[in-house]
Amino acid sequence: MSIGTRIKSFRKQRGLTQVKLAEKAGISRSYLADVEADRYNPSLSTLMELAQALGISVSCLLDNREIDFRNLVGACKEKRVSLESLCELLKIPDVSLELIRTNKLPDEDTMLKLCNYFNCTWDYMIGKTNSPDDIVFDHEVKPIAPNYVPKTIAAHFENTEFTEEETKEINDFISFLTSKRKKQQT
Amino acid sequence: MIYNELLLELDEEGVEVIEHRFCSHGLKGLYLDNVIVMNCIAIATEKEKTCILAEEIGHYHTTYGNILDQKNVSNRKQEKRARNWAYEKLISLDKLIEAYEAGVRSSYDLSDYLGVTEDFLQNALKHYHEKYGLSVKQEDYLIYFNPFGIFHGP
Repeated sequence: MSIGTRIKSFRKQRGLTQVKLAEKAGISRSYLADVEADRYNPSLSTLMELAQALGISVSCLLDNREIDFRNLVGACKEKRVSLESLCELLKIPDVSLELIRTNKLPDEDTMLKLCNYFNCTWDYMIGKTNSPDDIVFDHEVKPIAPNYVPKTIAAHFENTEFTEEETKEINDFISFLTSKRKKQQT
Repeated sequence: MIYNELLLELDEEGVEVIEHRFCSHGLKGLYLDNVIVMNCIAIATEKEKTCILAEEIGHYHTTYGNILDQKNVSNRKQEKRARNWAYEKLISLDKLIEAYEAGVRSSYDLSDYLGVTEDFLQNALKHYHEKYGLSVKQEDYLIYFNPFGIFHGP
């Protein structure tokens, strides 16, 4: 989904017309129409204003992945509360509840309430990650493998101190071993 | 010969032995988490190779942590412990007696018989001296460490 269509779908979800959203974000209607049709690339500040007007965070506009509240449903089950009673408890309006049910993003206030209640991150709530305290910056970034540091190192050498060259050689060898082990694992 | 035996033993334990050329000739052996690296071009003789391998195995059995910095006392202790392990591994008291029975008398012959370097043998005797004192009784034999000599008791 392109950013224009995403803005459009968020706008529709909130029942806003182009005129109203443009007014709230402080941009002209024709420009908004162009952005929604992907004829223009909106600037960052425009995006921020649009996100604010829609009551969502900018990252929601940028993220390509579909929103999925399975983690929220799972967390509710764990706490043995239904989604309805949870919304009553947290004073979440019915409109937002309906959005959650249909896997659409509710307003920021609701999201923050939910995140605080379950003590997890926003990204976990919308199903981008499976770990409650994880944040996903960009789905194309591969997780960085932790650097292999040998637990035990000992050397047989003649002098009492290493020269720079020797230290470098040892470090090179450690990285060589690391890459070798990685290959064995994959 | 002993070198190959050690290699077989390591294979069973799951320790990998790699021969790698380090540019520095001072660096002869390296132990890293179940991997022993032997700098083969810096090692002159088969005997020396055996001794170095034994010391690295000593590290495998006794050392924990990064002990490259030998200025640190606790690291030096660990180094010594590994070396002592190697001495006892390659030169057990029984082997000394066995050499005596085989008619070996001079220290050069003894190091040859045991398949270790002379330095290594001297250090091993020093280690036993520290451990047992001047002499130790093993079965019917009395082993003196300084000066080295073995006597067969009645």
